[in-house]
Amino acid sequence: MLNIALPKGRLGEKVHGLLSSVGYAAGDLSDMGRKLVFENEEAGVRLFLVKPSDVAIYVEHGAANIGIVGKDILEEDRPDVYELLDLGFGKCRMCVAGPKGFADDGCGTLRVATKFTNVAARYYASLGREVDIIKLNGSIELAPLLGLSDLIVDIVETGSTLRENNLAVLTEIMPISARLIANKVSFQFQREEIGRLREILAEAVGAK
Amino acid sequence: MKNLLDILSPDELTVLKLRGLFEEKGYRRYHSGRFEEYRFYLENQRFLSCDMLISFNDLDGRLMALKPDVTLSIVKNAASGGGLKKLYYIENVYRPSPTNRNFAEISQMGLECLGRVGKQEISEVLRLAYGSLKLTEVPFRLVISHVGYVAGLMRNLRVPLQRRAAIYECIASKNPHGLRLAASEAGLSQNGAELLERASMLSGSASGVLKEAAALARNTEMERAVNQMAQAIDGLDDERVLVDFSIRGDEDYYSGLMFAGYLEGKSRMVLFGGQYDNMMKKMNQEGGAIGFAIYLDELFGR
Repeated sequence: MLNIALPKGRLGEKVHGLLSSVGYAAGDLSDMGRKLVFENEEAGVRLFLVKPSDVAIYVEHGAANIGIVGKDILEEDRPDVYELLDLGFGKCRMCVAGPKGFADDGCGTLRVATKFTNVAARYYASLGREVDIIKLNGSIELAPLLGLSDLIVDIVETGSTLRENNLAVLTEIMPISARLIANKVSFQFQREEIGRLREILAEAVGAK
Repeated sequence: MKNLLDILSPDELTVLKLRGLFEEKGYRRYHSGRFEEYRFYLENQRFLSCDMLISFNDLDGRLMALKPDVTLSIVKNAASGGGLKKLYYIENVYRPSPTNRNFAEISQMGLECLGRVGKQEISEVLRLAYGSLKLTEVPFRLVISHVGYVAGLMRNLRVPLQRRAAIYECIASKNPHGLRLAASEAGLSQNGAELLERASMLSGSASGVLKEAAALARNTEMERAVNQMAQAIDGLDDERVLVDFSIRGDEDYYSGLMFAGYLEGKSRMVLFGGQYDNMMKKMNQEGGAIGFAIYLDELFGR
């Protein structure tokens, strides 16, 4: 039996649909409010929906054998897991954004608001730029508007929220998409099941 | 005597059995102190899994650190003098916890074979790793690898030195899409990138993978790596012994065979080891070395 952790929300729904289409259907998502675990004994899978930022934690600790998670969370938390496949959907970009036309004059400490404090710290360390990282949990775009920060580091999908608030992408740090991850111990004991699921998913999304 | 053994907990009994296994092959227990000079670890930072240490000033002002590792101290303090030294230890080390943002006291048991290490000793250490996993009576996997195989391929493909870390990172996380990107950034041709992906992502039962690995070898370094792996597992070739090149160590320290042990139901590896001739050279010690550590907290935890 493979325990699969899926992220709640749009990405989880998409992956649930994808798994159902390739023979790993388990449960009806509309029941997800009440039920926590869905099992398909015949296909040998047990699915559960968790907070997106918790997927890798479940997998790293072995409570889930595999999981689907955004690259943004993998880059932020750097969990000790295998990253087996880029599913190619849930695409967005990790970006530095700020007021249109913002130019860093290199003087003083730059204030950067973000949910992704590790990604932001590593990025600015690679540039040798001194920054104050301000950890926020949501509505990151508000920070430069209210003078809380000079810039933000966040994931950008269409950029419409930024545009509506007179903000713009200043630099793209990395592209983001959904990834299939596996626990390193589970992989050694369930190579065939995990390998088979990986191949089926790769074929379904047209990846190698 | 039976009564005395009865008072031992299952965990204590396992440690006792492991000691018996090691002593039977002539390994003697090594007792180490709890700290070393801080600069010792600073100089050998790349051998450590993490660069964070618990430091303090000794009464004479020297900056000291609680040991994050035992192998470095054994290599420094237990020179073989040209002969063969077979040691094992049961010690606590101090490292950041893998599960939270605090330091943890981690119980570790391990053995080191230093000095005139040849094929026989390498094979014996691998058998002891296999035997250690087996005596837990839990289904296990011993996964082996060789530093020279992927390193040889990198040299054959002339991968620029500054691009190798990104490639190794993708191999360690079995990340084929990241590997393709890293290969392209390293300027590899399509054929080169495909060969790198095929060879470095090889993984599975030892006999099958070694055949494929031999077929993909492009230089003597890769061929030697395959031959050494085949020799080391000779007689151990069952479904519990796998080959997987995602197991690796820093080339500055490790020099040949690498291996990791996994137990079913655990969330992390319980055993890790390999040949570290390069570390011996770095620390001006004669001969080669091979050893492994067993993470007792992982072994006895859930």
